[in-house]
Amino acid sequence: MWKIIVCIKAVPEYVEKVSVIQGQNKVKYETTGLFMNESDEYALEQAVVLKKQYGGEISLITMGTLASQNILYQGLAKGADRAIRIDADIVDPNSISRVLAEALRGMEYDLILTGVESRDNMASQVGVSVAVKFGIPFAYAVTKVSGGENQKIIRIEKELGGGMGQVMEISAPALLCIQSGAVPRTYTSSQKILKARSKPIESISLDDLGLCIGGEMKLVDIFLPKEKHKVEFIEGQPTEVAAELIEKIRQGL
Amino acid sequence: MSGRDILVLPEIRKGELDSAAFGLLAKGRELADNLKVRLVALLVGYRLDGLIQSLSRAEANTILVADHPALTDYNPEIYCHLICNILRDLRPKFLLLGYTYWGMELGPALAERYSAYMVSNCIDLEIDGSIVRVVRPMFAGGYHAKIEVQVQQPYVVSFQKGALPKQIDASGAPEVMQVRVEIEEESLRSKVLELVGPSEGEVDITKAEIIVAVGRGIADKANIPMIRELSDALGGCIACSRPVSDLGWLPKEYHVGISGKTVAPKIYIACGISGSSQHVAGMEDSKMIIAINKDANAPIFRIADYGIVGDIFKVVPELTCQARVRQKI
Repeated sequence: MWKIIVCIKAVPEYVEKVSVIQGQNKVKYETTGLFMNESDEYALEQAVVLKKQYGGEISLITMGTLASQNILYQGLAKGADRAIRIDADIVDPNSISRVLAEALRGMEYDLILTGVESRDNMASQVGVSVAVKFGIPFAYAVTKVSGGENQKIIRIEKELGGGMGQVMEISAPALLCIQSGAVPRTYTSSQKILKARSKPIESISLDDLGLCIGGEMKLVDIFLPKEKHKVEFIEGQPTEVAAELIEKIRQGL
Repeated sequence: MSGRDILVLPEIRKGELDSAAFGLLAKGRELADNLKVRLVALLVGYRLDGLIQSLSRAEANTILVADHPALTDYNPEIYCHLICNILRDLRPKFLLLGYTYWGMELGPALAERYSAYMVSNCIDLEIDGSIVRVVRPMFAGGYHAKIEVQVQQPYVVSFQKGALPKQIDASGAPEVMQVRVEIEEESLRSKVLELVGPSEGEVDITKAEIIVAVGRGIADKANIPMIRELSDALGGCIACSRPVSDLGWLPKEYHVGISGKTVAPKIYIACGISGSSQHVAGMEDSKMIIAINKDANAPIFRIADYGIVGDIFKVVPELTCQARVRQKI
């Protein structure tokens, strides 16, 4: 019986009209909707696989505004047993890991699973930080998890980049940052999600945690990256475009 | 050494320095000059004499060396414990490392243990008095954010490889100091069993002169042959971005990006690839980049030389057709 906590984040897929809300350290943007961050979804899928194999209980936790609650329903529909939302909108990963660790303190677990990097903040920081705050072993970019003979020792495979990897044994409790593609992604019917909407979501505020956040980091500006050089767009019918491209390729060889 | 130095931690992979090492040292030199402090490089591994030699060209004041058989394979637990002890002795104001998988794992762990403030995935960093100004990507690399940090604590900073300055020709003669390494293996809670590398007989896309790479825009595994036909017609090699290999549409050895292969062919044609920083890090040194994408705002167009805003299902077959005709002439 494994007690697994999965940390997930709601992120926008495409954003427009992005700007900083001055004085609040928040980003304003327009988007079509919030989705479960890709590698976080794989972390959840991995948890569901482990629960099926060894039995267990999955607690989901996210941090965000009310708009991020949908991913918790999606997670409950996929097989999570409990869902918690920390009601806070924070950009600084140093603060996020502090708040998350405080919220998880006191919860029982054998494994904490997170993704590797969030699509919006792109810091790859929170998972490992939380592990070190708790003094538990951790592994980043994990592509395979199995229980071995007992759940005290977990066998994992992880990526080192550049096509290299490692097989490791880690003693539980541990935190694993799960890489995209670790297990197959499963389909969740909208009917199941609809049903999950009747389940309760626990909500925690920063006040509940006795935390006051901020001050160290100021978000000054957000802008489109400077182009290193100007791209030359080739326009026209596919036949014309292809002819011109073939010429460019010939020159480039 | 004073307690304000800049410490650079280069990654060593399979006994070789990661390519970001010299860029990190060049950035470290710039910051050290600005702050009028010393630049220290820390090498952690086993049998490091050759690497010390190659770093002697870098403009560090000191090279610290932690050389021990137990450091042969990278184990985050051992490395973190050892480097943290060195940090506590040395008390540097800044620790710089690469935003590689190694740095993504070690950076936050070291920051936490050393009670430092972590700034990760930096594209640019400047120090203005007590303020640290950083530019870093957000929203899958589609935007850049400028942030200011002002803390009493030291900083751990990870840099995106491509954003680092190119190596400066330096003629420094750094002093080399060995660090005492003590490792209590009994207390370890993690153990490296095996190193897994690319297996024998795999296709090596890093040697190709032309790469035709496919991304999520291909929509279905059944459409992959369309890309393969183009790469065949051009005499090149097929490759892909992470989502395509994650879905099993192409084997992992074809995956270009920070977690896969790094390539720099003469021609790189990106078909239906949005251009996340993860992917771009693996191909931005290509001599000519051609991007075909239906989204005119896709980040790939910011690094491309030639861009086609259009449907890959129309452009790619036409390109294949004309490439075949040309070959016959």
